[in-house]
Amino acid sequence: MVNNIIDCNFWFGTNYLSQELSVDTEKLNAYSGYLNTNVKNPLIAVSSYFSLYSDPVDGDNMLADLINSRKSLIGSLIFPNYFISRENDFDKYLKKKYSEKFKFCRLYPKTHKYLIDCGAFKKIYFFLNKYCFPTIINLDEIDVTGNKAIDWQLLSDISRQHPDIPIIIDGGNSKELMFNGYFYQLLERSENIYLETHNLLAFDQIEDLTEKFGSKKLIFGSYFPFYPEYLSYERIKYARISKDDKDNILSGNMKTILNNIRL
Amino acid sequence: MKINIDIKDRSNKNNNYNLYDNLSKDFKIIDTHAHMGKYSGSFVNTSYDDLAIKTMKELNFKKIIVTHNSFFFDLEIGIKETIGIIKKNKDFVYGYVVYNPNHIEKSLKIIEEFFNKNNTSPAGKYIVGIKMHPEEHQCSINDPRYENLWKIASEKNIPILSHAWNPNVANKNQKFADALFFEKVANDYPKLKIILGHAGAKDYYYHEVIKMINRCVSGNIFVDLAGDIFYSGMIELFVKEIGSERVLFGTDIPWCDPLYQIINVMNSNISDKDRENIFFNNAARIFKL
Repeated sequence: MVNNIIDCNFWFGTNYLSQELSVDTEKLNAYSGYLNTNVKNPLIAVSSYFSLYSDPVDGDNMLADLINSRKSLIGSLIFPNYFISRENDFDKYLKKKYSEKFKFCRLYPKTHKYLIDCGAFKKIYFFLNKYCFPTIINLDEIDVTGNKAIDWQLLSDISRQHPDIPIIIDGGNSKELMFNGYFYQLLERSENIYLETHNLLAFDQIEDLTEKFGSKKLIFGSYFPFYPEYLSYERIKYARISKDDKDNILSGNMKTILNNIRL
Repeated sequence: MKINIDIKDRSNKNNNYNLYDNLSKDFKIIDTHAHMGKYSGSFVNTSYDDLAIKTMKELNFKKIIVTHNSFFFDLEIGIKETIGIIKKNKDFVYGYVVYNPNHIEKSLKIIEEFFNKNNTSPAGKYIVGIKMHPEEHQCSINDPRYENLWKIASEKNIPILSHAWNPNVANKNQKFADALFFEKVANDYPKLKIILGHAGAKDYYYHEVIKMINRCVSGNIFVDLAGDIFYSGMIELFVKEIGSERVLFGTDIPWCDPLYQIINVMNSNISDKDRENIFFNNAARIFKL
């Protein structure tokens, strides 16, 4: 039995492409129920499909109502591209969302059409860095060709120039984390980069990363509903690593990051 | 230069982990879709074969059927490496020979040699199937260069495992491996045993695959669960629509840790009889193991 779980990659709402991938409160309850059978006080960081597909501001406002109604939920805000031309206003927005229990910022530069290099996104990174605000970057969003040409250098630059932002790499639907050696080089050089675990699929990969970099670099994400609720969790539960390492991955590392937010 | 890396025996280092909590102890497992050997196009642990075999034995795998990665690129080296790993892991590792449609004569020669009843080589009985990889070899399943393979495999009753995928993904070479192409092959060669690797299922293509299998008169199309195809409800749907007798267990190791596939089957809403079929019985029957 592990001590706790913080799931940083959970999606809620209507997925306009699929009924199977849509998550209503009934499915959320079932997922919470599953986690509750394994730990006492699981914490789920919810991201909204509506925020991703339609409007991040409206979507995250609706999400705020849901997460504030339950102790076991926090939110992942999706960066609204509105702030690209009103960068200073992002400071106020971030503070407001944090007060509404949003503890992560997700960037979707390809889907929402903006640049996140250190020059173009400088001011936004300034605020995220100032508040040590956990920021999730999806690899599909920095895949230049759409076919496994990830801009790894970009991640390296962001992490080096903004060392106080905990940057969490979400492999998304990409197979890159199971195929690629670049991220070993990235972890080697970047203190503030973390890997979300759901698509660390390769044989012995979680064990190997834990041995090489320590379990502190891995962050648990279920990728529900894209993956069944049990898959990512049980992979860690049965990993060939120590219980302390499992606790770090499932919740300890995330707890430390969340406690470090300076807001 | 040969690089030797010791097997990592983590069980000695971590005294406080409970190995798999008896995850799959009630089920014997045959992996019909495993890979061994290096593969520079993907980053995997440099030398993982011994660790993989050790891990799989701990997880109650009884036999694994392996394609040596070198086989995709060089048939002569591939068969040597395959025999090497079979000999080293007697009665545990079984092998596929690879049919490369770009080297038909050589491929057929190897098949003739190993599936000849007079073959008395000690490793011979451990070669139990043929692997084809349309994406890797960039040759579409409906290409006439496979015609000889269909004929010989049908005549000699040799199971074929094919890489099969959704053609609509970003990787353009996956169009060669469209699982739906097997409808014509199965209708033309109804005795041919065809296993669709990865269930041809990527990105929800399994709905199309199921329809195709149900259209075929031949009852000899099977699917394996290897690879990153972890869609909620997929295993249940395959069992319901085509029967658990036609679903095989595969890991795709080293691209997937075997834990993923075991966890997925163990948690699926199917009966234990279905689980037995998937984990062991079907492979034992089809490959005569």
